[in-house]
Amino acid sequence: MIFSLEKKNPDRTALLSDTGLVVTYGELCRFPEEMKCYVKERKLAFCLCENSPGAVAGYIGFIENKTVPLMLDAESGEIQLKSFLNTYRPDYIWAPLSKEQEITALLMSAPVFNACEYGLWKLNDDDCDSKENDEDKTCKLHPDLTLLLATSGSTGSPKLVKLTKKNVESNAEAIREYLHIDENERPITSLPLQYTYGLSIVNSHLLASAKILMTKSSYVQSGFWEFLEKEKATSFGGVPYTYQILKKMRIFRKDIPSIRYLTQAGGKLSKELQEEIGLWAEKFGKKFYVMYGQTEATARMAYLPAEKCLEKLGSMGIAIPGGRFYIADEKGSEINGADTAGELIYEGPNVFMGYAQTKTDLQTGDENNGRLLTGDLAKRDEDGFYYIVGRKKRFIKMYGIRVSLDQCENILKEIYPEAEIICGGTDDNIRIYTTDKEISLSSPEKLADILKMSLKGFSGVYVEKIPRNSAGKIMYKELMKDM
Amino acid sequence: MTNLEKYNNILKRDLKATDDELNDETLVYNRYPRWDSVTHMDMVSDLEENFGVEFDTLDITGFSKYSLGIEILKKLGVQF
Repeated sequence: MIFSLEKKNPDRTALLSDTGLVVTYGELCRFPEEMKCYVKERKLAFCLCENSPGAVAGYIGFIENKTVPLMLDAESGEIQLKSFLNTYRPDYIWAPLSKEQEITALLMSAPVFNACEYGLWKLNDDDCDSKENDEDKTCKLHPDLTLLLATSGSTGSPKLVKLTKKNVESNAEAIREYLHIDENERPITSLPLQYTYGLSIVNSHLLASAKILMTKSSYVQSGFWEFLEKEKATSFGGVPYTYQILKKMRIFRKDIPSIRYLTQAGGKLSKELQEEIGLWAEKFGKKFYVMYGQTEATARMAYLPAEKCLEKLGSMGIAIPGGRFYIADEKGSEINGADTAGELIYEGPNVFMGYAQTKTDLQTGDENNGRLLTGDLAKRDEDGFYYIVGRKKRFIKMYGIRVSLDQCENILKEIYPEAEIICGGTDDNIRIYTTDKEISLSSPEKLADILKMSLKGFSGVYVEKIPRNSAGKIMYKELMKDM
Repeated sequence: MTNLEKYNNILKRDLKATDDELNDETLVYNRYPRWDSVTHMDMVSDLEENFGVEFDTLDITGFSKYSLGIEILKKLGVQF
């Protein structure tokens, strides 16, 4: 079984929710058998995620039955779900029973199987294939394909990252090793399960036979902290924005007794905040790990050893066990000297198979051969530690979720086909530049709503004209001089 | 402007809520679509700034629906 689940002590608790739901390792191992008569091999399932044991049980159940799960947010809303349904035409949906009415109404059928407060819906009746189109009948998912994750949150076309079992298991093993995770750990879920970083926390702890504390409460709610205290959580993870909030909540003024370590990924943390948390960790005998990853590398590629946190401020560390970095110049050749910036290239067993943008793409095999062009510009210091200095492509991170500025522009162009609109900005701050005053006022809310992100990260800027060079290319530096 | 009006205006602006949504059935953390962790912290900052108070950790985590914000402000000395 994945993560060698069958070798764990069956009586140990694998998943515990704040509502009291318990799933032991033995139950988690038996679950795929219970699901077996309802699902077929090499079929596609949507796993609508929330931080509860049912979501994890379904994820394991599908993988063990060789059904491929696509992890999606259970709260993403009907419009986004329909867009994924139309593009990928899954065979099954696994969703929380709290959504039963909505899903049943949408699919016009009831769930065929229930467990752990989740239900299984079938979209194509096995006896009557009329709903399944001809293309799907001949569509054979690639034998290596094990898991699908969506990139860049929810922008535009639903583009997926294809992962193998080797990707998932090798990354979980590397994380277990460098964070020294053993069966005594009790991580509390502070990130969404469908988010690669959140899922990697679950994977690495299942591998280590640990007890995972699952709550739907966020760290700004009392329920989260009460559960953390009651069950003596030993770790949690956060994106830079999480740590900004925790600082504002004055969490780092005192000890959190049960916590052994904290992790951070999903964007660059400011040096000031890294230092503040590093000092907190030092004072109270904790470990704080700054890390680096992408969905395309299953989750993680680098970590800064906790004892280097204060010495190497601003660094995302070194490659994880089994992985290797190098920096490439514009021709793709390796740069050997220290402190020279170039594109960061990663090689390792956790590099994804390739992207999918249609159902047909799920038939193709590995296209990357273990090498990932990260699109990030980085440099390495003399001691071999890496620093991100910028991005090659027009991506920024909004609260830890990668957002493509090009896709933002495409979304806005659909709403305002006549207008001239350019998106720019920095992490957690998207600027919409437009030559239309009215649009500069109305567009931030529209874009925030479609991306399902907080309005505070978006602003509209009215400009008389979009500056372009003689070749007609947009001069971003000139445009964003207000920043 | 009364303190209640001031409070209501901050919530309406940050959550893009309407007058008839100003109640405990509608304005609940995570249930009301725009009340996520990001907006939550913005509201806390705006309330602190406008009423000249400072929320502690328990105040921040305890503010989970419309009326609880008023209760916390009362506890911090704001008259309603």
